Amino acid sequence: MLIKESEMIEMLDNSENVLLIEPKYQKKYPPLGLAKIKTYLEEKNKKVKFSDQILPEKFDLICVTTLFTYYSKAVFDVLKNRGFFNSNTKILIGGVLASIMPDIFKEEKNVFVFKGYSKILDQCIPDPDIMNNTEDPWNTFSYIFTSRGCPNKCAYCTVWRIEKDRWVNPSWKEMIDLSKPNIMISDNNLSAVSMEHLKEIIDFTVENKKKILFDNGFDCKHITEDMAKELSRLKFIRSGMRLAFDRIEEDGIFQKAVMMLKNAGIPKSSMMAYVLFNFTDHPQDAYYRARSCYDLGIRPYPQYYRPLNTLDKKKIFIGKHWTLKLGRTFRHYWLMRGIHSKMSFEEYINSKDGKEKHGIKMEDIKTYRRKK
Amino acid sequence: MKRTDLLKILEIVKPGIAGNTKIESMSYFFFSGKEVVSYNDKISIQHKLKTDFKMFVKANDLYSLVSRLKSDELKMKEEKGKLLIKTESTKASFSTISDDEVESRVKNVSKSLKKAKWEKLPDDFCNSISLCSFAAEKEQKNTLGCVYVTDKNCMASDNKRVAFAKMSEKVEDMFILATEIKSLINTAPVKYAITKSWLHFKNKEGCVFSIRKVTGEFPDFLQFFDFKGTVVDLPKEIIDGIDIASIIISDIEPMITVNIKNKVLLINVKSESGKITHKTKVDYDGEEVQFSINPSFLKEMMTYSSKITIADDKMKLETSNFSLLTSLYV
Repeated sequence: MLIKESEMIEMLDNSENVLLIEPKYQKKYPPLGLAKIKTYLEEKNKKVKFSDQILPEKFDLICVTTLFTYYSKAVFDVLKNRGFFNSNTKILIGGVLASIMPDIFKEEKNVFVFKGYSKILDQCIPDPDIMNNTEDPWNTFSYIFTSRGCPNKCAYCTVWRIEKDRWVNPSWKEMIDLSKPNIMISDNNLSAVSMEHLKEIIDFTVENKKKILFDNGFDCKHITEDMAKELSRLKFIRSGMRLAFDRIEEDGIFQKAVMMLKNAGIPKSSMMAYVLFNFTDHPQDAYYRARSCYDLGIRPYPQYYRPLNTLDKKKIFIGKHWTLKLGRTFRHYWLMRGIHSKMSFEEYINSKDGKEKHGIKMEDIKTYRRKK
Repeated sequence: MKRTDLLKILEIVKPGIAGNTKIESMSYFFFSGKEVVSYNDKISIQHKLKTDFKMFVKANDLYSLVSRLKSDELKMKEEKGKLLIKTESTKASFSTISDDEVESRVKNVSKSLKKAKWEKLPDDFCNSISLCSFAAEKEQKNTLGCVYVTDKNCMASDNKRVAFAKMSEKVEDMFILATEIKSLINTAPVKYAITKSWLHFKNKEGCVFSIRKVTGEFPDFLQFFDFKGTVVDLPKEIIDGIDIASIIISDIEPMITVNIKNKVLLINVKSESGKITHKTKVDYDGEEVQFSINPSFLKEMMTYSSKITIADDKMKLETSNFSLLTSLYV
């Protein structure tokens, strides 16, 4: 059952003993949403426990976070294993999977789904115990969203579907743990927020002598010389200034933005660009986009497209211009670019390695060569 | 000494040898002069064996040799820091190591045994802990990873099912790591003692199996056994199904799945060897019920009772001595 923010807050307010669950799936970053819920509840003197499964004791409410859609099995494992103490306890589900595909929980007993983000909870300082429960180096970061939403409506992206409003969190500075050396800003399109807001972030980071990582990539079309100059004041984590070259239509705009950043003095090693492939693109387009990053001296990160409703990671989606082997080899080629630097991708798939290590067949080579 | 006697002792002690360990000597047998001992921090097993030497010998090498030798008699002695084993036809010498740290830990276990007050175990102790152990959450090292013994009660739960057995006599409270129960039962313990950090079990031959103590609380699962539901008579034919399924059941984790739907009871088992399904008619036409159970447990229960009670969210099998409660969300 879908619920509104006010109903979710009411559920939290009416519960004295709450269990927060991050299901058992692979992840690097801490569950920010749960960390904020913990603070919200503890400020109201509620008892809160954090686990990866339902514990054998009675709770008034169980909050389960979700991540990628293809981790759905881990989420359902939690829902199916409620144990004896909580067979009738209300379960509140939020996070990415719940926001994109709330209907998959329709049949689940006592399950309430909250889509998107809550402005009330977003203003809570994340609980340090949950935030520090990550491995090195991820425990050296403060994780924040200073703003939500994105004005773009890219077909391959989920942000505009779950973060419909543009909103700047007025309390974002309080979310930063000043005892940590690094800040990870996960705004989905920071460059599309005002220049004043970006300047404020830069000033704060510089004043507090922190290193920064813009995790979700800057939108190249919004990068100006002034913005590049401001950004150059920052100290970046390696590959911390992230961009995206997802579509061939951005050809020219992307290169111009990178040049502006480089000319402003941002080191090449601080930059990285996501390169989406296996969507509606052609392999040669994808190669051109990744190669352009490489020629500009920045690292391309090959991002394999999976449909937003993929519930099982083993069911591999193959884009209409791709083959499975071509997609896998393309990703390997760019991730291991240092090893294959003397060969183009076409030469690589024709090489002994391409054929023996990746099982490339003539059909894959033909697919690559096929004209658009 | 007789080769088969030594082999039997090594077989008993072997479960205490660590598989993957950073501490080399934990994968070695320790000959203390009075006993042969295995120690891996979780368990320690010591069996009486008088020797003229004190040393650590690589467990797998020694065990493999003794099991492959053909002679009835063998001689063991220390020579220039090595363990020499001689039979009529074979002469073998094994490198040995010394490890003061592990030796002192073994000594600590032995020391605690001196103060131990041995009590008799009920005759049905081994059967009870064995039957309950399948319901424990074996990946856990906390109380849910154990069989909990308190008074005459013996129980285990992974929070999805609860196995309960009533023993004939009382014992002191203890949590026994479920992963160690199979090896413990193989030693056929008849007495127990509880010291500060260890649970000790002794068999008739004086072999001592020590398991590190787990402390904590066990959730009160017994409250959930009391509920009303539809009572279903399980057909006796399912014993045949269990026997047939047993052909391919894994020894390590024996488990069958029982599914009841549309008046049909299916016993399913899947292992590396293959898959078996056994079908029996049953007088139940309600919501589909599915549960996993240790086949020995179900068979044992079927000898006492053939009734199960099904409610919306749980199901129980109950006899005078054994009960199983399963959450039906699974």
